[in-house]
Amino acid sequence: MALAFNIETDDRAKSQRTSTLKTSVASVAQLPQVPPAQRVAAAPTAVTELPKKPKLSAGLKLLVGLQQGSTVLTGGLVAGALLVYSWTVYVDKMVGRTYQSLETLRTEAQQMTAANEMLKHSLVEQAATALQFQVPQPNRAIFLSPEPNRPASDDLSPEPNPAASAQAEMPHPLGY
Amino acid sequence: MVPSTPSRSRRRLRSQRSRRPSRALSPRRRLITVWVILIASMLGLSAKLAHLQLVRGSTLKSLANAQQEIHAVPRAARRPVIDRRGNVLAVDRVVYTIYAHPALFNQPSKAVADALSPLLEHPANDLVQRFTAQETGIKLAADVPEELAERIRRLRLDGLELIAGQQRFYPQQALMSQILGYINVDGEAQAGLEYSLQQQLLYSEADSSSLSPLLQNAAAKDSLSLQLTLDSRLQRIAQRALEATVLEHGAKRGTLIVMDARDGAILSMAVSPAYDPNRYYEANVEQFKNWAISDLYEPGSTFKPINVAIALEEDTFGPNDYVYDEGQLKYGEWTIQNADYSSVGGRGSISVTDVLRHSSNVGMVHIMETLNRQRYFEWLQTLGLGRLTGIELPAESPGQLKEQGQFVNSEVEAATTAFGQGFSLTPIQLTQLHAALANGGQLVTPHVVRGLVNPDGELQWQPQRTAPKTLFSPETTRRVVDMMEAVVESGSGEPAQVAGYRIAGKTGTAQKANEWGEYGSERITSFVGIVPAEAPRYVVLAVIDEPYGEDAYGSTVAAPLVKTVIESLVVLQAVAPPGSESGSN
Repeated sequence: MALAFNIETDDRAKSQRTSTLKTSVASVAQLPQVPPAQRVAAAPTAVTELPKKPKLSAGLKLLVGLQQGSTVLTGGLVAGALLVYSWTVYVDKMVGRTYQSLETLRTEAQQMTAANEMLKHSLVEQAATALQFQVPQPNRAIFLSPEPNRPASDDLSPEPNPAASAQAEMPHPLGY
Repeated sequence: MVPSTPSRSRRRLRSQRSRRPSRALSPRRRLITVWVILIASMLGLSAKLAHLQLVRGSTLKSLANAQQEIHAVPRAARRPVIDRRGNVLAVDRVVYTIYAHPALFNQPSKAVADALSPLLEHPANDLVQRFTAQETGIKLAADVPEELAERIRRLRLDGLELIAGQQRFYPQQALMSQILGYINVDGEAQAGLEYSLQQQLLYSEADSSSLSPLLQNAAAKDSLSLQLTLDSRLQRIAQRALEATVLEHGAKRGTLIVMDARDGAILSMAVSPAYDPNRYYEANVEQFKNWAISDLYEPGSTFKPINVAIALEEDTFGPNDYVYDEGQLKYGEWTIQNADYSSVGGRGSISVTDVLRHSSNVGMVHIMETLNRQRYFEWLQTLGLGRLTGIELPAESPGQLKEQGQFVNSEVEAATTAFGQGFSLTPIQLTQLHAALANGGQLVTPHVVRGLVNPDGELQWQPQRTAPKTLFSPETTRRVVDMMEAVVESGSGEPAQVAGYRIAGKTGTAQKANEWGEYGSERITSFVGIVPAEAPRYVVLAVIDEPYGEDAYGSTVAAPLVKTVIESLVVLQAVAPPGSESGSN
């Protein structure tokens, strides 16, 4: 509520204004019509309090709490839904891209295999006809049988005997 | 200076009173209105949601699926086929069909034709003429390989459409054609393993799981390939030698089979004539069947060792017994004589080894006479004559055997069967029977397929095969192989000798029946070799059909061919000569 002052440029009013600091919320119209000299700030007669929050019943409190909680929850769910959706779109895109590269690799592998085999075949055919390639024959072959696996030997790199090595030293430096 | 407060306050009160909201716009009313609007819109949205989900749900879902599907280029429809050593024999590759739509050209037709002419190897004027024929959909070229398609794409010409498709490519060309078969232009397999093993070669349909269409497509293409038991190197050598022999003797056709006697795996199956499956349309239709599997012939003398084995197993004849060879026998109106009767006449009393060495028909008749004809017939059935061998190649013919009654009641039937005529079988079946002699008496199943392998070479799937059946005892087969070794050492098989190796073999020269059912002048010559004789591992059979000339016998036509192939076989399979320090592995 606005304050209603009778603002006068008299010195009297000024002095009054400076001396009075208590404000009154009551409307000026309710003040009795007293001469200005006596218009001093009296002790507030009626103190009206600020409006407080209305007291709610328990049920209403519960509902309000529910409403706030569900708002938070909804906000979270909406954010989550948006996140999951965008993630699926991203995954699909990545899958598509990876699949394309897989297919490209597969095609290239196929092409290389086919070209490789064709080359091998044409080389052999050329060698057979043009160069009179000789077929393998046993009189030009060496037959070896693989050695059986030997157990790991301990003395593969024997410790050099110092005395022996001294004796085995070259008596003169090598020429190169 | 006295403010006229009362009048002002009164005015204020009046204005305050006039500012009080009317009943229609009271706060309570406004609140209710807003609430009604919100609830109504919520209900409306729910109704719309229900409508979309329940009423139009399925249509929308199918629309979405159609949008999300990626139609990838069909990269491969069939698994590759590799040989024993991993060389690729058949593989899918992408080929393009090129269509031109002149309506969409943004350059003059002449310029487009000039740009395309060197790539498509068509004269430019020809292309320009074809462009004037239609507005859209002119097929310019089919089966364009990927590299050429890439070059055409790089021209960046408008109005060209490249449609991808699949084509089966055979890098080895004619080398394995009789075993692999070919795929025709409609993508259907014809002939060979492509036809008979379609189930294993085709990639299976992606089963509808929860994966997206992309992942299903990717998962369906596994990296397995079909591995064969064939060796490309040996096949190449055998094919060249066979074709040289067929050419040299003017023969109609020939075949050469190399089989591992221990398990029936075929290392080489060379068939002449052969065709290039990449250009199957240029071949004769007769060439599409593998005659080593599907054509019957009378084996002649190459069947004699098997008959001897039967007689030895039945114990009606001993290995050291002697027979009397008159040189000629008469059964009513039928005359049976030795091949060299006119020059040598009868040989008199000879051993079984000599019967084989000189390939005496009369001697064989006397040996098999000791057998009860019913028992002999049962033996022939046990051998599998008249039934399939079980090889995976399609269109196999079972052999032909006379009816039991006819065989048992007639003397001459058993007599002709004794020297390998009067019944027929396929070359592969004869190889199988000789493998039974080589491996100690087991009738193994001949096969060309090892199975499906992964890139590391591990077997993931094997075809079902019947277990080997025991026919003869090892002692019997050992004796027969020794006799066959004598044939090569000092008998008709001498041209097949390989220095440093002991080879057992038997020649065969059979007369072919002509269209009147009589034996004509055409012959079918063959030679079967078993190497090494001291511990047999491989059977090599060469059959040359209708070689030209009076001196065309198994020993002159087929035996040298087998010698050439055995020479390469022992090196490629590391069969060391006996007596060397390393020995054979």
